[in-house]
Amino acid sequence: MSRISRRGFIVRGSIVAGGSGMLAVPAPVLRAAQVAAAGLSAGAPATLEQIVYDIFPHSGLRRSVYTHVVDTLLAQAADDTALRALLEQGIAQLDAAAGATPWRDLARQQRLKILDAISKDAFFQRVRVAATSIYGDPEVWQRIGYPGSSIEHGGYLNRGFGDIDWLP
Amino acid sequence: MAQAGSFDLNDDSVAVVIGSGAGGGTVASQLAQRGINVVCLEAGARLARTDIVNDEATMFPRITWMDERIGEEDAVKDFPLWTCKTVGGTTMHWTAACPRLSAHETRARSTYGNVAGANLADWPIAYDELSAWYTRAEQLMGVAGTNGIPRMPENNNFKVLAAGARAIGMRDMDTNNMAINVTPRDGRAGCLQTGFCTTGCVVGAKWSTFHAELPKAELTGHLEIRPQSMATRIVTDDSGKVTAVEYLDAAGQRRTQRAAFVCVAGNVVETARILLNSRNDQFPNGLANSSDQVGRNYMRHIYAGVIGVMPGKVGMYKGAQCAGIVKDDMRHDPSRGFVGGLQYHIVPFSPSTMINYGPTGWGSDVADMMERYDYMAGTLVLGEDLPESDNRITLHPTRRDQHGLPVPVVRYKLHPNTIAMREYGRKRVHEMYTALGAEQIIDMQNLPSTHNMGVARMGDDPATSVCNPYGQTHDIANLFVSDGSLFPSAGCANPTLTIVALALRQADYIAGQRATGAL
Repeated sequence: MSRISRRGFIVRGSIVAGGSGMLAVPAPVLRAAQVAAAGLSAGAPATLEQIVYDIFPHSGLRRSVYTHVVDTLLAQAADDTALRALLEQGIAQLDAAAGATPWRDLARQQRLKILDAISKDAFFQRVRVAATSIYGDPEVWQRIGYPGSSIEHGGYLNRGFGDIDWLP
Repeated sequence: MAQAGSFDLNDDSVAVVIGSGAGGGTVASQLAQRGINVVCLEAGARLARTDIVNDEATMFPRITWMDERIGEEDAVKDFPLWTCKTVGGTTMHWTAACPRLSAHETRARSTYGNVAGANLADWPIAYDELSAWYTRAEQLMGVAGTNGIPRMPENNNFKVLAAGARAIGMRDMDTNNMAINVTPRDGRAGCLQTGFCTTGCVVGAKWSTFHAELPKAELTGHLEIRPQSMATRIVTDDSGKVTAVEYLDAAGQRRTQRAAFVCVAGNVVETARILLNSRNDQFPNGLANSSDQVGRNYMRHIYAGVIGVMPGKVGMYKGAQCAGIVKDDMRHDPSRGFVGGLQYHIVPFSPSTMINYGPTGWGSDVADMMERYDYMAGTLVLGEDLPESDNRITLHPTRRDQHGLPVPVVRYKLHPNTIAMREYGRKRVHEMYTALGAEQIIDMQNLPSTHNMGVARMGDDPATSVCNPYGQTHDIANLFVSDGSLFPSAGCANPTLTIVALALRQADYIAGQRATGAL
C-alpha cells in the first residue's frame, strides 16, 4: 500500500484542524460515543493506543499525543464500515495470537513479536498511517527539536540560520 | 487610480491565459504591460497575503491541486504530481532555485546520441539566444547570485552539504542562484530565513507571480484575473482557429470567454488534459496534436532525497530551503555509466514529510531516529531524466472528476539511465555525509513530481513536435503553450527559470505578431 502524501496530508490536516475543536468535549465522553458509533468493543481504544505507541514509541510524552490518533481513527471508523471491519478484525487477530491474555496486556517483547508478524497487513499499515500524524503534533515537534512556525520570531535571520559550529 | 481590468465574455479581442503560475502568470503580466488586454483563468482561489502562514498542514490544502490524478508505473499512485491550484500557481510552492540549463543539455540528441528507449531532441533555440532571455528572466525575478545581485548567505544545511562535498573532492558549490530577495527589491521585502519557502513565503521575499508579476500587471488595467475558473475546453471554429475558452466559474456555472488567442499554462498535466479534452470533429486527436506528441515525452527529473543524521545539530528547517547547490556532477560524463548530469541541492523535510516519505519501518528504531530530527541534514539529488514516448499524460477512458472532466493518468516509468544516475547520486551523497561522521543515512522514498516537463515539446518539425520555438502550436496559429510542456529535454536544472525565460520570449514574439497583424 502506498502511504502517500495526498491522503497522509489530508488526514494530518484534519487532525490538526480538528484538534483544538475537540478539546471542548470531555475526552472520555467523546471516546465512549466514538467507540459506540464505531461499533467496536470497549477495549478497542486501549488496544489501538498501545499499537500506535508501539509503532512510534516516544517515552515521556503526554498520553494525549497517542490518544488523539485513536480518537481520529475512531471518528473515521464511525462513518466507514470497511475501516471499522478492518480495525475489528485486526484487534481480534492480535488477541487471538496473544492467547489467554489480551494482546495489550502482554509484555513489550511479546507484543512486538506479534505486531511484527502482522506488520505487512492492511490493518497494521492503516494504523501506521494514522500514527504518523503524531509528527504533526507540536508537542512531538518540541520533543524532537522542530520549532514549527518562525515568522512570529522574525524567522531565523537573526536567530542562527547559519550558526553551525561543529563542522571540520 | 489604476485598477485591474474587467472584460466582457463576448470581447473577442482579449487574450485568454489559462493558468497564473510561472508560465501563465508571466506571459499574462508581460502582455498586459504591453497594453494587450488579458483574461487570466485560474482554477484555484486567490489568497489574501494574510492567508499565508508558516504551517505546512494549513497551507497544503490551501494551495495544492488535490483533484484526482492517477499515477501509473513509477509515478506515485494517488498523488503523482505535487502542483498548485491557487492564484500564483506553483510559484507559491516552488523553492526559487534558479540554475540555468547548461548548453549541452539543450542539445540532448546531439550530445547524448541515440539512447535506446529515449525520444531525445535538441532545443530549437540557439543557446546564446536562450542565455539572453535567461539574463532578462533573472533580472525580472531578482535572482540572487546573478547579474551583480549578491548571493544568499549560507545556512546550516548548506554548510553541511558543502563540507561533505569538499571532503570527497568536489569543488563547485555555492548558495545557488535564488529568486529570493536578500534585501528589499522590486517592492518586495528581504528574506527573513523563515524556512517556509514552499508554503507560499509569508514575507514575499521569494519571487512568485502572486507577489510580483500579477499585482504589477493589474495596475496597468489590462489584466483581469478570474480565480476559481476551471477551464474545461478550448473552442475552435470551422477555419481551425481558436475562438473561445469554456470554463466553470466559482459557482460552477459554465461560461464561455471569447478570445483573440489563447495561452495554455497548466503545469504540464493540465495543459495536456485540456488540449486532449478539447478534441472535436476537426481535431479528433485533440488540439495541436497532428504529431501525436501531445501528452508524450513527459519528464519529471530524478528526485532522490537523502537525509544524514549528523554528529552535531544542524536544524535543516532554518533558512531558505534550497539555497545551496553542489554542481560538480552537472557535467555530461558517460564514464559514470549514464548520460546527462545531476545536481545536489539542499532540502529540508518537515517531521511529517520525513515520516511520510522516509523510513517505511516502525518501532523504537524509527522513533529514535525521529528524535534526532534536529541533527538531520537533507539533500536532494536532482538529475536529468530522458523523454520517452510512452511516458505520458492521457485521459482516463471512463473516470470523471468533480467537474465532469476525464481524470488525467500520468504514466511514468524510470529509464535504465535514470536508475543508474539516481543510484550514483545517492551513493555520492552517502559518501559526503559519511565523510562528516553521519550516524545514520536515510534514503527517502519516491516523491511526487514537482518538476513537470515535455508534453507539448517545441521543435522545428511539425511532424515530431507540437509547438514552434516560440511555443506557438504548429497546427493552430492563435494557440500557444506557455509552460514546461515546451521542453524538448529536461536537463538537470530546476525548470522555473527556463519557463519564465521562455514566457518572456513568447510575450515578445506575440507582441511582434500583434503589431504586424499576424495575430
